[in-house]
Amino acid sequence: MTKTIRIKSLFIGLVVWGLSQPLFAQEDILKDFAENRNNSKYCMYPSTLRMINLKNNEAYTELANSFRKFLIYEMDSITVAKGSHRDVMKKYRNEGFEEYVSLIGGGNEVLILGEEKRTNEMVGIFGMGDQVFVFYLLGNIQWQKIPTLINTFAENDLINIFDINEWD
Amino acid sequence: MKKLVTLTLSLFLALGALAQGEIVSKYFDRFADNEEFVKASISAKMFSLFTELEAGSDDEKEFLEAVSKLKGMKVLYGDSVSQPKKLYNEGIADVKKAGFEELMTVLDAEENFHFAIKEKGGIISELILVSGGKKGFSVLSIYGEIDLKNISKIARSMQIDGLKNLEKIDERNDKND
Repeated sequence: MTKTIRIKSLFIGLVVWGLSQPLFAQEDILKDFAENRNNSKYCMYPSTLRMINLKNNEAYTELANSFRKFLIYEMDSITVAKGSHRDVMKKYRNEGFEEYVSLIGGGNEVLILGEEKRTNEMVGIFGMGDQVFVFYLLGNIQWQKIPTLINTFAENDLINIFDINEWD
Repeated sequence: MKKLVTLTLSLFLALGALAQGEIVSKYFDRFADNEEFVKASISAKMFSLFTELEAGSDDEKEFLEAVSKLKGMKVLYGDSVSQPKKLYNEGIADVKKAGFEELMTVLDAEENFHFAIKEKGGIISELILVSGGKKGFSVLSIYGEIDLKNISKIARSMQIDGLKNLEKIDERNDKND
């Protein structure tokens, strides 16, 4: 009887451990790739995202609150020239991430991959010319806020976090 | 036997879904290495996210209603391309050849627009827009279950350059009312 319970516990334990592995592994794929290949790194949480909302845009605040973690790396020139930031996205596809949005051409590059069934995670690329960012995002994103945000967005509503001169 | 019928039906349905957006995909392949053209696509997976969201305001409700039945969108556009008129004529020929029904054509001194749809049993499953001007060319496909009234709402909400031409559908609806 005790042996059966032990085996059952071991089985349940293994299943729980197995299911929890992707939760920890997904962010690390991007971290392992980008830590030594970036010009700058930004790690943001709802509180940090709300801080850059200068005019308290309501739609933005609601959107920011739906993020749990937002990790952004600006890739260095060697990585951009080699195009190896695209290779890391292949690793995510192999982990079951699916393509949500892609845009390429005219010097622009956008890719968003998502895995919302298990983990509510998104990774992607955002590039304009020589400047390329890769990101990792965790949270239940309130996509319906985006059109409201676009329509109410006014210049200088937010601090441009990618421009250090604006931080004064 | 039942399994065979189900399998065959599933296969046909899957092939039908794959066929949607194939005109734009053809242009994606043709101009894959051409930086003059922007190639963008939004997958069914992205649209499925919208079905799980709750609307807070009327604007959000309108937007969610508009996108919740869509299965995908593909667009190719270039502001300054070689031979835009030739591409426009080729685009219209491709659309006709694929069995689309013309919805509206706007001939303008600056730019021409050709809207076409695929409809079965009163349900529009795909909308194609081909546009060409003196310098630019674009081809856009939206597929899923399409309500024409909602399409221009998406265009307005998202304020995306490639979608702005869809507002012409609304102008047509207003004239017909």
